[in-house]
Amino acid sequence: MHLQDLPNASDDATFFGGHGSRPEDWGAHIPAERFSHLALGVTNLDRSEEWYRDVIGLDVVGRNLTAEPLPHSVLQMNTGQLMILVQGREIHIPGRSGVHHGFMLTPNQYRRAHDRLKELGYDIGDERQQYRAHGEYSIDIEDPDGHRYQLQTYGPEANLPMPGAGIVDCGTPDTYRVGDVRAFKDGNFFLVRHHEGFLALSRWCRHMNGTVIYQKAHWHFVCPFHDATYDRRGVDAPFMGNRAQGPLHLHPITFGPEGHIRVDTDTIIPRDGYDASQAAQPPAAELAAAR
Amino acid sequence: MAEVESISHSGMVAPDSRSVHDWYEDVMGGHWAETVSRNYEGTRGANAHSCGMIADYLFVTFPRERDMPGPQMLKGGEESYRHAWAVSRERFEESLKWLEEHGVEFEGPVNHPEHGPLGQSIYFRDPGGNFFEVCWRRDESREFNPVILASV
Repeated sequence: MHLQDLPNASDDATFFGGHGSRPEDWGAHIPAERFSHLALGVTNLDRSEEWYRDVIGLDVVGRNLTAEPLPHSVLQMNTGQLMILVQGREIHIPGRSGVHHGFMLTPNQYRRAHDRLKELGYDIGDERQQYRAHGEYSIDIEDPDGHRYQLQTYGPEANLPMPGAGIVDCGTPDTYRVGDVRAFKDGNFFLVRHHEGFLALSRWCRHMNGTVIYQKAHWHFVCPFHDATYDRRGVDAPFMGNRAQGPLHLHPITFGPEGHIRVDTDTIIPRDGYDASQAAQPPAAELAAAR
Repeated sequence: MAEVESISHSGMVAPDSRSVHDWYEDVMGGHWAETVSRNYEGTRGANAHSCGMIADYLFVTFPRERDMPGPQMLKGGEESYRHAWAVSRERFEESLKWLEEHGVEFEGPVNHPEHGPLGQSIYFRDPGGNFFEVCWRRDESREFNPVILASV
């Protein structure tokens, strides 16, 4: 779930190399030590070479530099990986089967690609936007033959808490019973009432920036991306394999003169665990009324 | 400088079966992430498809065989797509032997022109019919920009 169209500016190489590979997983394996190139059939070599150069931004290395028997063009990315466009009489496009390829860009390359594509009249979109984590960006695009691509990046904000929505009025304490959990989607937080008082829990998952949801039947919060699980205090649930990496952040709570609960979503309170002093008690009069 | 760092992943058509998974792991040295990859950390968002890694490349498989390329495409490329992995020149022969020992029928080695970036290649298919290539790179002595891994 990203909340903006473009990543924050950065020339940093992409988080996880874009796919989470770790050298210890693949270092010295044969027959594949690293990815080398993608060969792709095209129907008009001149047109495609121009498209991959001018629209995608690959460097053209040259023509007919490999043993491919048909005319072909070799293009290069900054990691040294290649694309080899091979002229074919006809090509087989696998339709809407999920076959696609993903280019990984730095945030600044992505910003430039976004502007370039808009200038060239492309309808920029991401058909899986609802599955993206905060800070993850993707543009769907097809080449002149219909080969499908994603242009992807992870902005530096992927590692920062999501932006807030200012002060959110959550109503009066007497509308909450002990044990209630109420979601405030605009501010991306849950307000939870415990015996000790109220907690405003940020929905930002501490694992990889997903947004947690509340599972009422299980009395816990879970991140749909990787199953990180938190109890109703926002503390990572103590079971083996839980990917939560520390408790959910809190937002400060105050009580307005009219007794309304006010949550400051622009402020984050990090914490290592839970203690009762984190819970905000409503003013005594409200507390008495709630009883 | 290009405006793209790398090609990081592909969605490919392959049967989601144990034998295919085993082939990727046992023959190609890859590893399978999750059948339903909600626990796969390589993608920050959600991914409901089967994911695997071969070296530094992520592939997502979609089990729809009717869209597979036709059998006339011995090496692919000219009509669809082909994925190529590199090994160092010293380990190329070892790789061929490895594939032979694992029953992989391949075409080649094919020699590439001396003025190009590739040295030699072999061509074969995965159990799902996808076209694969293993090569050594003539330009392997050049300094490649590493794909920076935030996890290390």
